[in-house]
Amino acid sequence: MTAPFCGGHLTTARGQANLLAVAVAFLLVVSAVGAMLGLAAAAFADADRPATDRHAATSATVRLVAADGSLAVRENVLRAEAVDAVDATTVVASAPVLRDRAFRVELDDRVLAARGDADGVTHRRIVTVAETTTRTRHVSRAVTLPRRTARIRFDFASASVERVRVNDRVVLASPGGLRGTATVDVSRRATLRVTFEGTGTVRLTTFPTRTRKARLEVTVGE
Amino acid sequence: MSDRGQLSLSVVEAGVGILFLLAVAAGFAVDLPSPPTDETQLDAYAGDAATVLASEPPRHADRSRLTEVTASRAAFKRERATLRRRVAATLGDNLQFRVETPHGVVGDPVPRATPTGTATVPTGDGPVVIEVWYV
Repeated sequence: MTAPFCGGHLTTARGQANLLAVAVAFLLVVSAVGAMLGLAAAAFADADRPATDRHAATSATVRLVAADGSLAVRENVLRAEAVDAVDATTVVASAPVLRDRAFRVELDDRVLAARGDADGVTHRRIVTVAETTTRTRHVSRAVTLPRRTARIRFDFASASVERVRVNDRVVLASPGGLRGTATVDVSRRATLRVTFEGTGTVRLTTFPTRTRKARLEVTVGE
Repeated sequence: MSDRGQLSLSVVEAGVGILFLLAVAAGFAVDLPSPPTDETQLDAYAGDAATVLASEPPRHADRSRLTEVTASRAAFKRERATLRRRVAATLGDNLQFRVETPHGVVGDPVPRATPTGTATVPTGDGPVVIEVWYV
């Protein structure tokens, strides 16, 4: 057992072959590393995009339903007039996270505002859309308001009333009789009973809100 | 003999190395575990349902529908069916729910292996927990 590991000319021949093999091996490894990096980068980009899209969609809905947003009266309660007037600019002003993105804002399948081609993640919230209505009634002595209101307007043109009480608390009083019109802020959280001390009929206007449930959807794209 | 010697160790090593790389790459190619996206949406739904209930006028007395049902056992019993209808109407058809109040429970039992969203609202009489999941 002298050859092949110890022979002089064989050693040189193997050395040459090894150089070639090392070159080939190096090429293979480098190309494999390149291919793998490409694959990994693509995988990370794929995983990253839904995450940022989801964040944009989620925080945009949070901003849109927030109590201090331009659309909302209270948390999760949108003002009907604001909803009708909304467009892409006001949406971006409320939710700056959408500034450089395509997006679509929908309320129960009605598109409120859209920009570009939004095909990414959708986030939904349940909201109520509130519309302020006015109700006028003529009251002579007392009334319990069936629907809640944030304020009451009184018109004393055909009445001589000295005192107005809401839930037994005096809100308006004048010893010689109340004149003209007056508006009183009341609790939206309580059922109200309005009583008058005096004669005649008072025209009483309340502002109850009519609400309906809706689903607010924000879809974002790139 | 000399031919075998030339199928060199370097190429074999490179082959093993490439196998290693491919094994790692396969990890990316198969899938990255996706973040729990359903829960985010379900939590939002549960929170919205709680907010809507808390801001809704009551059927009889009290500040809101939520304080009305938590006021007493009798009030809860009286309002139970209505509460169920209201929450169902609020959440829509593709969601199921369970509302736990200090005086009792409304809704369906929570399934085990399903993602759910939860919202807790503190009230004067104790916490109200709303859990929501997809049908």
